[in-house]
Amino acid sequence: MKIYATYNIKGGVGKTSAAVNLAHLAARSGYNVLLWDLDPQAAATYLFRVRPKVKGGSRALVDGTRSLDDAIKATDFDGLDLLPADFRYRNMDLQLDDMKRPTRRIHQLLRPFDDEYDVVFLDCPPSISLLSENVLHAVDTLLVPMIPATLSVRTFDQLSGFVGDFDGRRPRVRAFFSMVDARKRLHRDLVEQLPAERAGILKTAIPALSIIEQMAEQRAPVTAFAPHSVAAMCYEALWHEVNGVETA
Amino acid sequence: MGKFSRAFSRQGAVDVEAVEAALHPNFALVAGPERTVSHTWLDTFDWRLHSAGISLEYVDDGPLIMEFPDGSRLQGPRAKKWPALLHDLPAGRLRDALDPIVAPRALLSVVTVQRAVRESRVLNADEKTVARLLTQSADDGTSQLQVQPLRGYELDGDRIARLMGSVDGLTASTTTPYDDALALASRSPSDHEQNPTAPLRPETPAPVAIANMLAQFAAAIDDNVAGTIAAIDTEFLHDLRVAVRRTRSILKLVGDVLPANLADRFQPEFKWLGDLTTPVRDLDVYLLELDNMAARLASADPRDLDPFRSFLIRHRAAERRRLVRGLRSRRFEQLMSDWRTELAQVAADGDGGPAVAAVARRRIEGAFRKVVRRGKRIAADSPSDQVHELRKRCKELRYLLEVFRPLCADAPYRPLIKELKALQDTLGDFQDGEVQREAVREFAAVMMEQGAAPPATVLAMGELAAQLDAHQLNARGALVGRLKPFLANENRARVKALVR
Repeated sequence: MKIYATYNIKGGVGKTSAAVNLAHLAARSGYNVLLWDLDPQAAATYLFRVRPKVKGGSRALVDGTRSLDDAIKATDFDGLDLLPADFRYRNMDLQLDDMKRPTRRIHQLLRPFDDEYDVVFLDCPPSISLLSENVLHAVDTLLVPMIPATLSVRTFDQLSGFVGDFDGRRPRVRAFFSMVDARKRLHRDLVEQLPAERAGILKTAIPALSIIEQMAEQRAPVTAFAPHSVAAMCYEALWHEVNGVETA
Repeated sequence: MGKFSRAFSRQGAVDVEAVEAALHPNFALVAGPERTVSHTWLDTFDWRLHSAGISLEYVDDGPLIMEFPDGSRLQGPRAKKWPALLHDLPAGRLRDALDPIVAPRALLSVVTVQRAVRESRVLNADEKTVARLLTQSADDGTSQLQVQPLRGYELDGDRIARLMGSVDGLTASTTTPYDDALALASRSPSDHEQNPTAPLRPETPAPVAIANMLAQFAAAIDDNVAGTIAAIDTEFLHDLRVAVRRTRSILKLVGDVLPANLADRFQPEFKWLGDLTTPVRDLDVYLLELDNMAARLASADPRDLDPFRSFLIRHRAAERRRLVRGLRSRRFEQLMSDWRTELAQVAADGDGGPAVAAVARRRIEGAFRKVVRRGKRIAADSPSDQVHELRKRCKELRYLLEVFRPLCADAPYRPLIKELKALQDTLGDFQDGEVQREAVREFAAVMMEQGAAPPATVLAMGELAAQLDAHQLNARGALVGRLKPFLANENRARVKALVR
C-alpha cells in the first residue's frame, strides 16, 4: 500500500483538486484506492456527493471506538472509496494529542488496510499542526502543490528541511506547480527553471483552468467528466510522473 | 448482506419503468444501455469453489471476479488461457484468496453463457450512486435482477431490495446466476459426489453392494483419465490412483463375495494399472515438496538443488510418456470396458449371497484384529518392515471403514476414524521419510552416473536425505504414543458396536 498526501501550509493552492483527480486516475488504472478527506471543509467529500458525516466524528476514529472500515463509502467510480470528512475533524489535533504516540496515530489507523488498498490519498487541511505531523509520518510521498512564487519555494524548502530532520522513516517530498497562469512571466520562469535547479520538484505543472473550477458544479473529478481536456491530461501526466517515481 | 433478498427473477423481461416507479420518490434510476455479454465461470475439476459457496467468473474480456458467500467480491487479473494453475495467474490478492481453496488444482472453464445485461445506477437525493441494479435475460425468457449496494450504502441497498420485492412479477431468487448457468454446463457438481446412486442398505446382497461400489471407483478412474493425459494438474493422476487403490483393496478384502472368480481375474490387471501410475505420482510428490524442502536447507543453498529439480522434471517427462501410452493402450481400454460389463452383470443378477451388513461387520472386525495384532508388536526400535506392515493393515481398515460408512453408527465411528487417521498420519510420516530418503540417494547415484550432479548438488541432496532421516526419526518417536490409545479396549468396543 502506497500512501500519498496532498499538503501545503497555505490554502487554495489546488490540494483537493490534485487529490481527487489523482485518486480517480489511480483507480482507473486498476488500483484499489482510498481517499481520506481530512479537511473539515469537506471539499473532496462534496465533490463525490457523499455526506460529510462520520458517526462519532474524528474522536471515535482516533480513539478506535469506531473502525475506519465502517465509515468508508464507495464513490461512483469503480475501485475508488472515500473516507468522508466531518466538521468535527477540526478538533482532531486535540484528540490526537490524547493518544499514546500522538504523531503516529494516522499511520496506525491506516495499517489494517494494507491488504485492501493499493493506494491511499490523504487530502489534508492547510495548516501546521499535530495532524499534519501525523500525515508526514504516515505517508510514503508528500505531494506539495505550489503556486509559482518565491515565497512558495521558501515554504517548500522549510518543509523539506523539517522532514529531513525526522528520525528513521522519512517521506519523499515532491512539489509540483499548481494554478499556473501562463500569462504571468514569473510563473513561466519558475515553472521552467526550478525543476532543473532543485531536487524534488516535478516536471508536470497544473495550469489554472476554469474547467478545474467546474468540478464543484459537476461534482466529479475533471478526469471523469472531461477526460480529454487539457486539465485532465495534465493530471494524467502528473500521475504518471508520481507513480513512475514511486515504482522507479 | 442485508436481511432482504437482493436477487430477483421473473418470467419475461424486467420492466425498467416499473422498477423506476417503485424506486420513486426516494431514489432515481439511471438506466444503462443493454448489451450482450458472455459470462464464463471457472472452477476446479472437483468443484472446490462451488463447494465453498464461491463463484469465480469473468465477463467478456473483463477481470476475474470472485464472489464469496456473504456477497463480498474480489477482483483480479485473468490468466492468459484456461485451464490455468494458480501460478499462471498474476500475483495479487485474488490469487492469494484462491490459493488455500484451489491449490494444487487447476482452474477450468465450467460454462460460458451469453446474456443480455443492463447495468443501471440507483441515485439518492444527493444524486449519489448508492446501488447498482443488474438485469440479465436468458434465452429461456427468464430475467434476473440483482441489487448490488455500494460500500457504505448497505441500508439503502436493503431499502431498494424491499422496493424491488413490490414490483409486479419479480420474486426473490433462490438460485444464483452461477447455479442457473450450471444447468447448461456439460458437467455438474452432483456428478462428482461420492455417494452411490443406489444407497448402501444393510440388507442389500453383498455381491450387488460391492459391485456398485466398484462401479463408482471405475467411474472415478474414467473421470480422471482425460485430465491425467492432458496434464491439467497433478490431482487428476492422484485421484485416479486413489480409485485404483480402493478398487484393489476392495478386491483383496471383500472380493471373494463376487461371483465367478471376478476378483482373481481382475486383481493382476489393476495391479498393472496401479504400477503404471506410480512413477509419475512419486515424481509429482517430490516436485511439489521440493520448494518446502529446499527452504529448510541449513547448510546448502536452495539453488544448489536446481540440477536435481531439472533431473526430476526430465525424468518425469519420460515417465509421463510411458503413463500416457499405457492409458491410451488397448489393454487399458479393454480392462475398463470388461470391468464395467462384469460389474453391471453382477448388479443385474441381484439376489443371492449374504447381506452386506454381515460381510461388513466380519471384515471390519477382522481388519481391526490384524491392526491390533501387528500394533502390539511395535516398539520404539522395531524394524522398519514391521512398521510398514502395520501401515498397510491400517490402510485396509481405513478403506473398509470408508466404503461401509453408511452402514456404521455415528457414535462409535467418529472417534474410531479420528484415532485411526492420527495413527496413519504418523505411519505415513515414517514411511515417506524412509522411501523418500532412499529415493534421494538413488536419484543422486543416477545423476552422478549421468554426470548431471555438480558437487554442490550432491551435498545439498545429502542434506535433504538427512532431513528426511530426522523426519522419520521424529515419526518413530511419536509412533508408540499414537498406537497406545488406538489399541485401547475402548476401540475394541467401538468396532463391536460399529455396524448396525
